[in-house]
Amino acid sequence: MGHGAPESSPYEQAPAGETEDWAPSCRVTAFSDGAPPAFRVLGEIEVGLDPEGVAVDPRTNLAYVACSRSNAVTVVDLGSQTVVDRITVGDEPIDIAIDVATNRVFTADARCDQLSVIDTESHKVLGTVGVGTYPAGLGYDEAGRRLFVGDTRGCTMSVVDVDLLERTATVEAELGAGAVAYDPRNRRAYCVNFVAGSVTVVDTETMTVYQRLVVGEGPCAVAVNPTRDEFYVINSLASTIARFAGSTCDHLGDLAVPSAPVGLAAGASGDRLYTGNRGDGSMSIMGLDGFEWARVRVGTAPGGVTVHPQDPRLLLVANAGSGSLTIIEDLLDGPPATRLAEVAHPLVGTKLPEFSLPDLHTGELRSSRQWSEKKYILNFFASW
Amino acid sequence: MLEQLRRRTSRSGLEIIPVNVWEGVNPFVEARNFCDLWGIPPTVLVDEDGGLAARFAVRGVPTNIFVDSDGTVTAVGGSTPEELESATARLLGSSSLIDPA
Repeated sequence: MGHGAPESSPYEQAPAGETEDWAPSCRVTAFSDGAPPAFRVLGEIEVGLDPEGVAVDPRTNLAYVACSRSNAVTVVDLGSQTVVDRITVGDEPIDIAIDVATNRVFTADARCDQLSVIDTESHKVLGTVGVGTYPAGLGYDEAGRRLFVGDTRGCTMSVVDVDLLERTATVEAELGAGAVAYDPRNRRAYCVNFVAGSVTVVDTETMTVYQRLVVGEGPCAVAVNPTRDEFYVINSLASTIARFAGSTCDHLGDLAVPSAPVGLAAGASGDRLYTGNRGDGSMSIMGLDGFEWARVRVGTAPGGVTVHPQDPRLLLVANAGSGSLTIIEDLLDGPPATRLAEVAHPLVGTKLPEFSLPDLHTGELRSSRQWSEKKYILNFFASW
Repeated sequence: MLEQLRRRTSRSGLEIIPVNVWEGVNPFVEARNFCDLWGIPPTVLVDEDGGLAARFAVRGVPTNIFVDSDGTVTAVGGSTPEELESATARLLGSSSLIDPA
């Protein structure tokens, strides 16, 4: 891994007196002077439109990034931090997984109800596998040679044999079925249902629903922590992580997370999680002691977070808004000595500058003067 | 959340103005489809190149900017129901929102 890449500020400091060139909304005072840095941002690489899922081939150190609005997978050499290829797949690839044994990468192509299968040696698409409607999440069972697919509009979880390249089973889930994680210790798949606000726990021996768990609002990511026999579900609308015991599926509590988290990965050390915070352009290192250990400014509207399989201190964050991939090194051996402190957004307390934007329906420019002397909320949103 | 808030504050004069950003391709088509799907009311603005988001230091979605009648920004963020509720109540100068859902 190319650790010789350009190094940015090891930790964020509170902005001081920015005017025209405003600071990002997510900056925090990370650590007091003299404290060791919590992380290093090794680089940020442009990859394509709306990157979401990332998979890494540990043998080649290549990252495969599903760029959903580019309908393509961008291949990044993590050593040189350069884009080495771009592979066209089906419409709107959201999640991605790699099967090293067969040299294949799979993408969940949401708008054409299929998985694309890419050969990692030739970077050619070998074929497709039909699944349920609007597949948006993939969970990988390496030993069982299977992929579990969350079919968002189909309200199902498809099971795909990665050797035969065919769908072998379908399990009923619920509306908004998306992210899936496989738990090899308990031989279960956790399929997260965004709209229903639930998790469908599937016994992967019998391919039957073992349990339905009610979680928070807008669950959209799940991760398994084998070290602790726990799993976690991100509730993006509530900005929390629900924590569950793996063996019993008992709810162990919730962790508060920064704004609109949508990406989640468990650290290999077992004591931390990583969240991609779509609402404020950051990635958090969340301690399982209940505290946020560090917050890293990344690109805009980040989502998927992936831990490098060969070097678990390296993290890859896909930034949907800025179309980029941020590479971060986690430098923390454990909880930091000092807690984070929030810093107010630089706009707060100032007069909002005038602006004008086109109206979605008429195309006509509308000026903020229209709302002068009124109380209003500007709500920035994206459809993805 | 916002649609519920809009209903609850309908008599207060508060306006909620959605701004679509970072669609990448076909922003007007994608935003229109999204608004139709979720029943988002007619007034929607499009920040096609993300220029306004950058100018206002918006780094993610959803981000809400709460603006008082004199143009002062009272809060930025408000992505959870609780944050949205409290920031709106502060903006309206009341301890709770006025029209129950």
